[in-house]
Amino acid sequence: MTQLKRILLAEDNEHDVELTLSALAESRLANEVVVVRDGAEALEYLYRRGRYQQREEANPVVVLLDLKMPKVDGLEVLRRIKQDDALRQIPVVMLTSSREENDLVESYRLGVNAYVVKPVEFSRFVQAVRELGVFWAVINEAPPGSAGKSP
Amino acid sequence: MRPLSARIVAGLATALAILIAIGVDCYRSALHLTEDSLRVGHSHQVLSTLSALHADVLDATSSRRGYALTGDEVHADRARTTALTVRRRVAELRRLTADNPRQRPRLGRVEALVERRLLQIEASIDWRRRRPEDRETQSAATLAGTRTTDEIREQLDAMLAEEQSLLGQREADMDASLRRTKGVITLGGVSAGLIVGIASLLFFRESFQRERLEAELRRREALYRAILGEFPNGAVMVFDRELRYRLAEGKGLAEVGLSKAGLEGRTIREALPPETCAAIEPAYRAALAGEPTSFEVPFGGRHYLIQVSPLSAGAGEPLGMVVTQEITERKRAEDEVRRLNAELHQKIVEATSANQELEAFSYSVSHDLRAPIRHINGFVDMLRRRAAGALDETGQRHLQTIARASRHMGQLIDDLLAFSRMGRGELMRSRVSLGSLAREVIEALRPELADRSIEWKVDGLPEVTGDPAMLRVVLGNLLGNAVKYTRPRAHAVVEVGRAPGRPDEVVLFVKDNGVGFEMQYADKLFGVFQRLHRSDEFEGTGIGLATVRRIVRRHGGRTWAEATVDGGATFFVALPAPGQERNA
Repeated sequence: MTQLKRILLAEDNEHDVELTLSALAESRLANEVVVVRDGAEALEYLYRRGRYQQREEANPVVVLLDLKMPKVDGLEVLRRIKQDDALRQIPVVMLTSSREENDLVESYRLGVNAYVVKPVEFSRFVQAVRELGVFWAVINEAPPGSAGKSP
Repeated sequence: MRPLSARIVAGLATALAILIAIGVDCYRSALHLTEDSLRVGHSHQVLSTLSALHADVLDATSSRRGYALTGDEVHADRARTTALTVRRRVAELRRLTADNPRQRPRLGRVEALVERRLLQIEASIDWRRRRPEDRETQSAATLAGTRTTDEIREQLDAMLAEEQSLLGQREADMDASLRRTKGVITLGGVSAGLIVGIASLLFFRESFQRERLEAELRRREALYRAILGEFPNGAVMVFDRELRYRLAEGKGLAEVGLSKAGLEGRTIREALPPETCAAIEPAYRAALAGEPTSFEVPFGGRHYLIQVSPLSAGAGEPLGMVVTQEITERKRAEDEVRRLNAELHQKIVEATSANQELEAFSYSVSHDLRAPIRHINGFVDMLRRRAAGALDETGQRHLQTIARASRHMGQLIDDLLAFSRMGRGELMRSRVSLGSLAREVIEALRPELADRSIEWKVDGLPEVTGDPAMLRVVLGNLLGNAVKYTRPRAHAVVEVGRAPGRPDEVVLFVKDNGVGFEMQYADKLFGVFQRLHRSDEFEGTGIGLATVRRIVRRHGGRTWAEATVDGGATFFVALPAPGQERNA
């Protein structure tokens, strides 16, 4: 069931990527993760452009978005997803260092599905990411057209 | 004044009317009097004529007798002459009594008797002349004559009596008329005099009042002139429909090269240069049409404010008033204010941009500084899991120190961000029940206090007006501190309540039985990064109380603390009483 479920992680910081993947690995979800390193790449993936032209059709079951990224930031990616009829249904989780209220308010205004502040303490970070992964990739029933969705 | 002078005129007219009436009445009385005295004279004439008639009849009788005794013709002649006189007197009497119907019949009888008597006398004389010796006839004639004479006397006496009574009546009439005339003259004179007196009194009073009013008017006029003449920093002018200056006063005239004499009585075209006229004429016309205008004019390095406004002086023709004021100083002050405002605005712009930079900075701190801390933490943890066996005890301890230090760094960043957030943003004021807020904070703390024995005493907390989220931070910090610094106590007591204070304040206190502190550092406590305990005794960042003070100050309140070493501490927060709030 779970092997086909795909998570898109958009994160520019390699340390964060490693920590997040490490945390997901503890839940045995790491090999389902596609990592993109900025907003532009995330959009390329979602729209199947550039190097992702050949990716399989199904959308990821969840997008984990860092807020602050080069080129196109997380809020912009979120906006584009939620404005696009084909992408709107993909759950988006903001995974960020920022506790800034403005970011929180703006994210929800744009239609984010969840907003998670990365805990400083690693054990709590691991726990948060694991729960996130399990919830969206396992517990949550993804919308039609998502990867791993039973036909 | 009008009624008064009307009263005077009315009084004088009445006096005149009375005097005219008196004059007319006197004239009429005089006419009456003359008539009365003429009647009296008439009566006297009648009386004297009656007496004379009687005497003449007697005279004729005695002449007849004389002739009878002597036969002398002298007597006969005399008797004849006297008879003529008697007839003439009777005729006169008839004329005199023509207006008296009561005397007329008597006179008729008298006339008949007199005629008979005269005939008797004539016959007697004639008889004597022819028959001197016939004494008997003579005697008989004499006897008859005497009877006639007696009858005549009788009639004459009656007439006399009648005329006497008439005379008495007429004299009485005349007296009455005289008395009435005297009375009218006296009464009229007195009342006319009285009226003239009253009128004069009124007149004098009025003229006295008028004089006083005129003096007051002159005094006021002088005062107004003086005020206008001393009009500070400017001038006052009044002009009429022809744009002719009616009045020009004020010290400011000379400053702009004008004078009272050069303006008053002249039109603007006569008094001022053409270009000035062209500039001010529209404003003057507008003022006459009831529309005030004001404008500023620079002249000789100074600034003048010119106000042209309609002037209504009763129901007369429309006038305009010009008030000029030298406003150089005011202008300078205004310029200064403008300059300061511009500076202030610039400062605000700078401050705003600094604030924005600060926001960007704290955003960056929030996002970018936390990331490396998290990474250190994460990798230390992974290292420990992966290489725990390869490290000796010292290596393990070092790893722990790195982890603790990075956690502390993370806490510092979070606290600093909170501190900075409390200084920014609007206060969202509403009614806040401090009691409920305190209980909520205590509930939030409880999970961490499972192994602690803490007695909470929350009582008498009031309602205040403030930002609920910020006030929650205040209570969170104060109660958190109380919990932290009572940790060495087996049984901690934390009391939250209301302390007495000024009437415009609500004072809240948080008292604990913890380790306390030295009072000489009481105020240092509220500074950023100020700590009174080592971090290995009590963990912390030294930002909590600074945040408390910042929030309370933003609410317009005060904070202070009292403590003794090892004797517990009490923190006080004074907030404005409801209705006394102001924005910080």
